[in-house]
Amino acid sequence: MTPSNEQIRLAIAEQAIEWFVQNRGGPLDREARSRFMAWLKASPVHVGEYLAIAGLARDLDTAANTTQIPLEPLLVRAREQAHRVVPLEPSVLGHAPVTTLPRMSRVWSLAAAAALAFIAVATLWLTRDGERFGLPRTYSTGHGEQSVRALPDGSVLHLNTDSQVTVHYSRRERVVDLDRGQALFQVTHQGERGFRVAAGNTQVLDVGTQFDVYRRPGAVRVTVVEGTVAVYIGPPPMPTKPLPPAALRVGAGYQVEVRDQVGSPRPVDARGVVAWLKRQIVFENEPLGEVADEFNRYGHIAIEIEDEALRSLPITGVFDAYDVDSFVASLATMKEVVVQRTPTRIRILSRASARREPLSDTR
Amino acid sequence: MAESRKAFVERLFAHRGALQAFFYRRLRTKSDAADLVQEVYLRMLRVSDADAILNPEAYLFTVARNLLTENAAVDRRQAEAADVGEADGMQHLLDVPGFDTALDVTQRVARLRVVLKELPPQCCAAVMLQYHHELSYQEIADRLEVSPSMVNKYLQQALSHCRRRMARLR
Repeated sequence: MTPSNEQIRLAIAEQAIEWFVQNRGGPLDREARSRFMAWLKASPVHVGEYLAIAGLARDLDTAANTTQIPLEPLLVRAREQAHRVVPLEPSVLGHAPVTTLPRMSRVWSLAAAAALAFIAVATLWLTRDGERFGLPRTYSTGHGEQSVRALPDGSVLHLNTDSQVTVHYSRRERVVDLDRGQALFQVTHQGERGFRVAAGNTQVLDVGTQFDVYRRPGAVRVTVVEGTVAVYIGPPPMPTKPLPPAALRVGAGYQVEVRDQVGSPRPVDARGVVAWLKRQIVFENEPLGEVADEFNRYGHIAIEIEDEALRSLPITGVFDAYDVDSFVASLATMKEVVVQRTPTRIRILSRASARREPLSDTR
Repeated sequence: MAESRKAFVERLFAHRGALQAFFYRRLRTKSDAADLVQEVYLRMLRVSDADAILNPEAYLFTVARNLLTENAAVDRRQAEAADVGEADGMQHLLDVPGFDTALDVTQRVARLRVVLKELPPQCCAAVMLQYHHELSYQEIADRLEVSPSMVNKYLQQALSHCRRRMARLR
């Protein structure tokens, strides 16, 4: 059973409220601070809900300061409610319930029951994956899906479309096999207990950081958003042995492409690389062939490039990964290109060949 | 199944919670707001030494406020009529609607005055003592003759109730 979106959003709002109230109570201690930061960093939805609750509290402040509620009677009723003990098992204790709850309280207890149900759903949602140490776990996304998950150690896994990872945690090491696709890892540092991503025989060792690994047939691309990673091709490292001398250290803002060997790091705009988090894809002078492949990772109607020469046409822009239409519309404005579209196909042709070959959809 | 999961992802990422609405009044278009959500989040991600931040909440508000200011500066440079005021501190930032972009601040506050009176007395009292009388949690606990952790719980229940009631207006 997947909880509904609304339930998930409510569960996140409840967490935001918990943190907000705790923050109003005074400075957080060191441990709470780092848990709060980790919570904020786990998802843009968390950040959004937190700021929204802050805005709501601001309005509530204004409301409380512009209303007349006589304080003393309120306090009397509040104390009365606060100290009302509702026997949990009156029959066992041999007493009838002392009082019938007034109407408002009943409504509130219904609300409280509903809130508990939401918390139960949220807890279920958070622990559903039964993240027990030692058991490998597979996470995958289908065509056009993305997901965000907290791993058992507090690290966060963002999975892009058509991707799969298998997580093996042992006492000594945290290992994630990137079976296919693309994932961004925000790693919680745990001293000696390393974090390693294996994409086939490409090994990416974390040195406390955030990085993106994109596995395609024949190539693995590693982009470091923050911190440093070590990359090499070969078997998993031995726990006590130093890394192989060939292991390449890659710092923040750099990217390496691994094919038959580990390429040299080149500087990149890491924002572009993690843009998929918001389902945007960013291209800077990238060949049309690769741009189309990228869209085809998300979309349901494949873009076909009929002309080999067109595949190298440079494309620059930011697009919504699921909005093939606006991408195709902007392609159609290029003078070299003709777009032919039917309900089932999108063909990209050079202007010259389009004149020779009219569209047929009956292949 | 695939469709419902896709819809879920879509909602989670495309809607991105109430922050869009949060920023909405300050910005001219919803897509600006969506970009800001992502920008705030990415800047939070870039914090490498989380322990160095003594007050993560204040940091978050500062990031959000700076982005609004930057955005305003860009808008001013473009000499367009931006609906962005001076970003003069956290209070100003928080003076932004949480949910309903169709309601102005007067309507939202009027609504919350009604919601406040619906709350169970202990929650209502905790809110009044915190916001109106500016007492600390310990002082509120003393007045209500409960523990500070109960005060915490009352305030959470109050906000949770308000959020539900305000969200329903959307």
